[in-house]
Amino acid sequence: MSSNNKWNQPDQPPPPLFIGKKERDLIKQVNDELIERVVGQQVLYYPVDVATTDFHDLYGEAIEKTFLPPVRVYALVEWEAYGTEYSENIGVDKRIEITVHFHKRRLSEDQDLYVRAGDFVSYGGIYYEIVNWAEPRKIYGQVNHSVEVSAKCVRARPGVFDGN
Amino acid sequence: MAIKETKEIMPSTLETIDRAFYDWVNKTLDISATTNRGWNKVPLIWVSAERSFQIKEDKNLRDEFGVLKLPLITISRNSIVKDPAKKGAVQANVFRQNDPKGGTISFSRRINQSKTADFANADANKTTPNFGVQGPLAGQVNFPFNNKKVVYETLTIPLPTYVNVTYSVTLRGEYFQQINEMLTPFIVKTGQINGFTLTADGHKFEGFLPQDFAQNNNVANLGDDERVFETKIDIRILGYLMGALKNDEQPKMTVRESAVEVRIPREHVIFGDIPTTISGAFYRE
Repeated sequence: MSSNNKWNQPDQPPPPLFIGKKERDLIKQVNDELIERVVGQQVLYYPVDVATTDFHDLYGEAIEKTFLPPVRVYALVEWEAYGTEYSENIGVDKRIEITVHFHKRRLSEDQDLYVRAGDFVSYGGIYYEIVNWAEPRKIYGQVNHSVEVSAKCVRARPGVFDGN
Repeated sequence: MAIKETKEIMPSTLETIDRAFYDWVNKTLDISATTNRGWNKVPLIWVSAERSFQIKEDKNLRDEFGVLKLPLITISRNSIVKDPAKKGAVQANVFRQNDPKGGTISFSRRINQSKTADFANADANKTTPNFGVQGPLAGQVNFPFNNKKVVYETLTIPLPTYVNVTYSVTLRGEYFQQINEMLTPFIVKTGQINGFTLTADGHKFEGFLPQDFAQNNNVANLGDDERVFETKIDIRILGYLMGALKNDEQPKMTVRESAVEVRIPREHVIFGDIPTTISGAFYRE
């Protein structure tokens, strides 16, 4: 490189111009406060413990499930549906669905918890199974930083999970 | 003392048929395929597992983002048909014994040594002939003679109920080569015929491969989708069920003893056979 070149390659890539660590921390702080102080909704998260649950070796199902100690999590809970539905050849049934928006950083960094399909949450005394989840948004497009984990949950029948 | 051979006999249930088929694909065919990580055994998945089991049980099935690694073979049970026209070795229907013991088909038979010896000794010990009494009338136990009163223990089991269970095996890969490698064992394993046998828990079932192996590839109309190669094979297994297990009032296996002597008891009280005045006096049964 010639000595008269006034432009130098920096050793490290520069931080994003407007959204760096400080800004991300601010976003986390605001969201923590919003979810815990303003929204105030909380769920109990029951991670299924595959090490101690006696899953059927062929069918991969367990009538009796064991779980790790449940974790209280503040989250934004979206009430999706609570109503009757007609189960074909069975009759009238009810379906309850919620979508739980977990704060990603609060969950993974502070509570060391990771959302997995098949785990259970309790909300309002009802148990729900997480049927799918997604991380729909990134913080200003930064690939390693998600805003939330959005989990769709349907009510778990007592035969599937009863928290005991 | 006679040595009794012990042999555990497992019931044949739907799970037994499922397991036989799973083991046939997993162990008998034992399919591997070429991947960018080498020549590896293709994972076999039973489709109906719970979500938590799918996600957490075997981390090698997925990458660090939770995406399934291909190639992959899945098995799902599609239908169960009880077709009277498609039965196995036991063709006729034989009703069960209508008692708590049940049982239909004799499975094995052995001599009950103890009870046979009791009858033989009872006859050998007699000194005066009676109706139905055989033996030498030697008045001596263990006296050898040709004993006709042999007590047999017969083991009976419920009638096998034949069912045709259809499974869908789905082969999914990222390359045509992988599909070729996975599909070929299904075609060539049975030779020129399409039938095979499979076993589980000591039971033997028959399987029938289809003539068509449906290809579900999207390469002809790829569009925006990822390139996926899929082949579906519907395989019919002729299995049988024996008893309804816990829902059955009768046991899965019954032991019955043969009758060697007919006795007609008398009513002792009415006829005054039991001596009431002499303690411990003999009376004829």
